[in-house]
Amino acid sequence: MQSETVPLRQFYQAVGDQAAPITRLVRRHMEINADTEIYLGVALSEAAQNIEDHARSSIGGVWCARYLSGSKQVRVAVVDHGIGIAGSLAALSPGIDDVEALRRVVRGGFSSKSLARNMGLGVSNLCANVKHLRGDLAIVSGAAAAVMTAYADPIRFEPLPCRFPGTAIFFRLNVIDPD
Amino acid sequence: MMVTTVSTSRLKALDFFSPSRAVVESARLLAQAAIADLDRFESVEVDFSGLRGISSSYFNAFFGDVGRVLGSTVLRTRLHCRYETKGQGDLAGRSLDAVLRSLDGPATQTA
Repeated sequence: MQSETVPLRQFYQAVGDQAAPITRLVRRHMEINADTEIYLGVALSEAAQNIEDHARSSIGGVWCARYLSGSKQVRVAVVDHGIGIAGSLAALSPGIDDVEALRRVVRGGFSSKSLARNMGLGVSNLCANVKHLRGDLAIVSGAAAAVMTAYADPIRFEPLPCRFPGTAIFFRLNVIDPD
Repeated sequence: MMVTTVSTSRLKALDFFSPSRAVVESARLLAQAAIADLDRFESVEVDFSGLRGISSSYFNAFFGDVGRVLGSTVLRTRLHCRYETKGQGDLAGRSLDAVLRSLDGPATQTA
């Protein structure tokens, strides 16, 4: 099977069928059941909803996905050009640094409360769902990164030597041959 | 005159979900229907099977809207949810717990 790409797509809102092209790409290359499809959809939808609710990104968000036949992986990237996670949390926690901001949202239960319905579950759900899919995940926001690998605990949080102008989420799923 | 009957209304979340609509708006439409039915029926059962591409915000908005209008006791006792998979149920459960905590305060214990 050849490599295949879901082209870059821009969005400003988390909409019902937004994740469908990426889900279809995964389904074409992996055998997935309803539970797996829901975990994947939730991971993508959480990323999109966070951009809509918190990022204040002038370009909204962009995402794309690619199946790589050589490494037998599906890789997904979701990126915005917004204020970053620390920038969003600063309203409630002035002076919070990028690493601590990432640590808190990954743990969950901590939100900037940009909207009343925000409960601080989005990023922690995203991580939990990618982990359930046995995928690897990296989140880069400002001058910090969180890195999660499928079979290693805990999630690593690292300062970066340079600053990313927004937030980027990358995850990859390993395609498991049915036999 | 409000007529109260000992009966259950059944709603399918998919009937209120549009692929082209914001995820949270679909949740709000479902919440409006559930609130209306909770006024007329003893209990409401919502079936979430078939939904794809929803996030915690979907359940936050749904449970939050119902809870703000009718209170946390109704959320606990008269609203019953059926989930397609364990993963979907776990996602909804975390949202429900968070909504109940926000309505009642941090000491709330949930089922």
